[in-house]
Amino acid sequence: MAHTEPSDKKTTATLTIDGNQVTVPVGATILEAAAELGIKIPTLCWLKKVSTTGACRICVVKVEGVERFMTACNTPVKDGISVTTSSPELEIARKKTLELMLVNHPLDCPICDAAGECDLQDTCYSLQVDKNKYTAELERLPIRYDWKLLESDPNRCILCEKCVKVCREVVGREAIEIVDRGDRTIIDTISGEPLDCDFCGNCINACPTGTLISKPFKFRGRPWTFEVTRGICSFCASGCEIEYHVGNGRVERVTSSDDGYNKGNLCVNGRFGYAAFNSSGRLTAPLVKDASGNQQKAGWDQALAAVAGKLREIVKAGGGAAVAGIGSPRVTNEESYLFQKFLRGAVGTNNIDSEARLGFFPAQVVQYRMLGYSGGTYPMDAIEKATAVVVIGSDLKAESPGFAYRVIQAATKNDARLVVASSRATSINKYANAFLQYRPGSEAFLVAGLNKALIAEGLQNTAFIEKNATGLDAATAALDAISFEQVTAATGISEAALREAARLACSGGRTAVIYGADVIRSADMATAVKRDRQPGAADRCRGRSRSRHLPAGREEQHPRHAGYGRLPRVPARLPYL
Amino acid sequence: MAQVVFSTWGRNVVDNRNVSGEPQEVSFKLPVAFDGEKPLRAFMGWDGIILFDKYVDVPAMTAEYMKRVQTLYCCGRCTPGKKGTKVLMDLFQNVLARKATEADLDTVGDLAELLKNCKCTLCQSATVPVFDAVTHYRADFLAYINEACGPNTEKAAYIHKITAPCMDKCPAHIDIPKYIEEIKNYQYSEALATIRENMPMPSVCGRVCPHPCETACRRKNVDDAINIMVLKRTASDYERQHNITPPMQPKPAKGKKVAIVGAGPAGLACAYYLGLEGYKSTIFEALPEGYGGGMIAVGIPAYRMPRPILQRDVDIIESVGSEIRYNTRVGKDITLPELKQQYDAVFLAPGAHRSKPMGVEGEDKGYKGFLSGGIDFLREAYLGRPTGMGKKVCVVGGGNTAIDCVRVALREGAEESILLYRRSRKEMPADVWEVDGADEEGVRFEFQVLPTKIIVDANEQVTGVECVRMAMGEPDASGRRRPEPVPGSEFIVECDTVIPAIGQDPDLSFIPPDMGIDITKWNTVVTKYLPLKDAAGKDLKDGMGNMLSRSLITDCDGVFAGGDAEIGPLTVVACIGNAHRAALVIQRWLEEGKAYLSDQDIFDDLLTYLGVYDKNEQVPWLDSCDRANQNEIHGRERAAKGNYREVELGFSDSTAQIEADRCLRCYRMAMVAV
Ligand SMILES: Cc1cc2nc3c(=O)[nH]c(=O)nc-3n(C[C@H](O)[C@H](O)[C@H](O)COP(=O)(O)OP(=O)(O)OC[C@H]3O[C@@H](n4cnc5c(N)ncnc54)[C@H](O)[C@@H]3O)c2cc1C
Ligand code: SF4
Ligand code: SF4
Ligand code: SF4
Ligand code: SF4
Ligand code: FES
Repeated sequence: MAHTEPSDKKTTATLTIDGNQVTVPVGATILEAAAELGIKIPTLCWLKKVSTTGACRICVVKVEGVERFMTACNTPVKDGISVTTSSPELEIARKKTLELMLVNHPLDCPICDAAGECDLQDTCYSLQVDKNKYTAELERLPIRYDWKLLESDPNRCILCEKCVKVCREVVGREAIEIVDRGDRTIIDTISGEPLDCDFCGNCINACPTGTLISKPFKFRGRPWTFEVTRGICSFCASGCEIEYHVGNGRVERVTSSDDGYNKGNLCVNGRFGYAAFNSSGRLTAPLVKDASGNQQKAGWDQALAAVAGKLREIVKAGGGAAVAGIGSPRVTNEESYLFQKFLRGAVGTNNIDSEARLGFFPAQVVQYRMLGYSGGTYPMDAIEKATAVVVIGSDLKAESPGFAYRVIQAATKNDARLVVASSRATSINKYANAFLQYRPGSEAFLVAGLNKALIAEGLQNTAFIEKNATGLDAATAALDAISFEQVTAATGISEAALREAARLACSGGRTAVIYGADVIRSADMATAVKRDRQPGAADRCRGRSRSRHLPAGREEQHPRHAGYGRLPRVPARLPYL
Repeated sequence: MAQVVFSTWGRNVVDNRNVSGEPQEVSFKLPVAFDGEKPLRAFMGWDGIILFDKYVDVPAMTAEYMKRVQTLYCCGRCTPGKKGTKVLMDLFQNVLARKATEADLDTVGDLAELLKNCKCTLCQSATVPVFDAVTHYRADFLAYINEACGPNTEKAAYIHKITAPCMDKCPAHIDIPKYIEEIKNYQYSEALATIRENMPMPSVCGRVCPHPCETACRRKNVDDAINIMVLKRTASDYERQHNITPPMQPKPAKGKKVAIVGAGPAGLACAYYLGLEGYKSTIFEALPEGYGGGMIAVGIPAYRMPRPILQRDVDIIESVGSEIRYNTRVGKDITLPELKQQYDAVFLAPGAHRSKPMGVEGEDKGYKGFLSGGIDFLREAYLGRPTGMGKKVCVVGGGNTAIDCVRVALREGAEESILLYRRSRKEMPADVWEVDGADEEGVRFEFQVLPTKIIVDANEQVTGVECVRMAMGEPDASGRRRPEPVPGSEFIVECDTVIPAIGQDPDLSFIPPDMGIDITKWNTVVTKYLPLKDAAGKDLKDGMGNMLSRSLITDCDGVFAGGDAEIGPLTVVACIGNAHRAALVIQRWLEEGKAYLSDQDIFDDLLTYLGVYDKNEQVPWLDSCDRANQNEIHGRERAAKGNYREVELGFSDSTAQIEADRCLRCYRMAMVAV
């Protein structure tokens, strides 16, 4: 038996399933190979987006030459094997296993939230499990009514582990675990205390039964009665695909399909934020003031006519500039576009604003000026394939959970090294290989320090830079003008820690850099990326003037005044994803 | 002599219940009395049942077995296991409560068949003895069901133990399937916590352990063993690479204190487990600061065990409640009786640091270039002191120490490094990968040669070793063939340095003879043991020839011993397992004034003696995932002068996760009736 070194491996395997040949990549499971052929093997615990579990034992298949049944969901294929997915013996095994699963199951389908979309129901139905010869003493486990937003009835649990795995592997919260032994094994918090977690509800989405349910949804309607509208969640920039379930004019729940871009994973806002739609304080019809100044419900035509008339009056009297439009930061790009088009073209004003200007916008402006583009360089799913991820100035899961989920995938499943630089500990720190806790507001120094360390360690991708960028010498010179001591004095981070972080950040050659609100709002954000800045300019535009309070003379040595401002393109350019 | 009344063990039925003539002869590797006193009445486990006493209540024992499996160990993570054992447990409870029917007994066979689809072996293997019981003791079950009085039996007490083949073979009994499953589930910190329950030096044993567990891995019966060792390294690397603070919280200090002689793995492990329990210890260590870890620090080379990583393990152990006093040799700087007087208990773990003589002409003459021994050479090299090594180095021996010497000699700048060994390459006691590693680095091997004389020049400087070639002789009385010198085959291996690496003994000169501490003829410390005997009346012994079940207290009250100095030179993991036990016994001694082994300790020893792994077992499984092996640095440069960079590179987390998924989770429960 070898002690080191992997053996050479073929990359594909060809096997026969129910008499049909199929070739799949090595490492694929029998279940996946069968799916290639359109053969469906029943499953209950298998969930594509998490690691395999092998708990339900429903997916058993027969592999020729292997004396026991193998579970298709977690058995990798082997070249040359012959698999049978359906036979009387297999049917019996599946049926008996389901019978066992139903021992002491409450079978309270009439009032179970999951009825109609329960995998257990569906599987028992399709395998025609209509009797049960196994019995055991009945013991009812307490239902957790004391959790917020979620309710758990462990008696309905089939222990497929989907919830636990989603919480651990996708959300990174590890709030629930499998506890206790034997037939009393349940899903619970490790401490037994009420659930205290992100309340993203992704476990509810994953639960194939009525065990983990949404409290706000309980008794709000049978799942099949709703009208389902697909949409994109607008709570943050992650762009998660969601489905609104609407009945009687109310949004009663939000779900997300595992087949979507976000693999069904949402955050608390996306999943439970719909409460706002149903708020009694919300405007549901236009209101128009009557003659005595009281607001009265009106039809859209009437309301729009009133607005159009007033606008016309104002423009006539004071010109287009008398009108200003304020858009919502929650609307889509397309809607924002139409809004400004309307104001410019129809009304004739340039007085347009949006709260969005106070968020990502300033960073976009600087990034555009420096790099020629204002968004990300790759679609966000590229994060998952990165070999290193650097997160700067962001409590990522709070700001943009969709990004955080992808960083977690990269770090845990794809061996990416993670460097987190933040002024405070964040929830993704536990995956970080290096955590640079800098002084609040020193983001620019931090970035400069990282770049300095990167060049000092000789880690820059010279070939890439030569092909795609200019000004490396100038950048290096600019960085040379600041010393590590200065960086350390400003950020509180040692040179050794910066070098270590730079090495980690460059491992593997595909680095994703994500920066967040702390960078955008940082007093020296503009400095971090801006060339040719006037001393003090950034401070003025941010309405802050820290450096002006520096004693005379010190000001000269302050690196923000000492050449760092002339840094050409470097901080945001070096990451070579 | 204990008679086997009935057995299905090994799937072989022996039924002496109603024989008129000679009962069928059968013996098992079990003692006649569980702890040397309480007779072993029955044994029940994954491979059947064994009855030594015909008055054992088989239905009651069966019911108890199933109940313990379902309520204590069934993890609930697969449907047949979770529900099947529940149905079985309740069924047998109903038998005892006379609520069952005869038809219920048929369910046992049906479920035994269905539970073959379980995810792991625990619940599935539990159906084996249970099914045997209802099959062969059906009348006893029926007596419960149909008659008023039940079978004619005497009440028994039951003791059980959960095990797995790998876990049993691991001398520290680490819960291997548990930590492997945790890695499979991306729970690296949990995995490390599991490992630390029995192994406080995970980064060491994740790197240099000879991994006996892997020789008993049931996955071998499918294809290759799980890479248990590197998975352990993965868990420990994860903590370090993510800057995670080890989570252990020692209990509040309990006031009593323990002195420990030696900061090797045994001393450190004992300190760790005592520390967690709230007992502060002081470790007295002869070596200077920076060399904590005993033979790991001064024997095992840094290219196998990087020192900063070793130091991290040592620091963690110290932080849990011990203090290491370096540069303090017991017997010189402080005496053992002083320790005994100043501390509530003393644990001796001085290891084995005296090189054995080679038995060759000229070795005792003090020639220049003839070094005192392999371990001395290695120690001086790591301590940065002059080793006395020249340019052409001959190392004599075939064990791991000899290999470490030839490989270190290269790194110390030897131009030629030669290994002389009496037998063939195949017979070397050194691990194969170590020999291959030396080969790759350019070590020259001379197999089947016996050094006979050291050759020196006029200045008494070594210039070579005279050797004679060996060949296999005729089989002796026992049928074994021994290597014998081939007449006339003498030749000289030129060299300027000779390092004998034949083996080492403990140096116990610090133990005053009047303390009543007994010492064996192999120079190891004698500790107390249980009088475990087999049916033929012979003492049960472990693989090293020591008594099987030792409580590790010496004949001097309050003085305990462990590690290489008690076992004989062995391995880090053996020393740690042994010292963990010592810590438990010392705790009992401190709290109850008695040094004794618990039932769990004894059961561990019994299972090790019985053997949990069965190399002949047919394990039906699809062999569709090959064993993953770690990468290593290749090329001779890795052994260039001064290059002690680690050679083996460990796993990436994703490789580890896939490797962990190969594990079959071979848990099983054994139970005895006494
Ligand atoms: C070269 C070599 C390579 C090895 N490689 C491996 C390997 O790869 N894997 C493996 O598992 N095992 C290996 N071993 C074996 C392993 O190192 C030992 O079995 C183990 O270290 C013994 O542990 P211990 O705690 O009993 O004693 P030691 O590790 O020997 O520690 C005893 C300590 O006590 C100190 N000491 C001794 N006497 C006194 C005294 N009177 N006062 C104060 N302090 C004292 C010593 O300085 C030493 O630090 C190797 C051994 C050698 C020699
Ligand atoms: S709601 Fe989200 S964080 Fe909470 S337990 Fe479920 S998956 Fe985990
Ligand atoms: S709670 Fe739901 S998702 Fe979680 S194990 Fe039970 S059935 Fe599966
Ligand atoms: S212990 Fe093994 S057999 Fe039993 S329920 Fe758990 S996974 Fe299944
Ligand atoms: S397969 Fe896993 S549980 Fe079984 S012996 Fe090997 S390591 Fe242990
Ligand atoms: S789907 Fe394969 S075991 Fe559950």
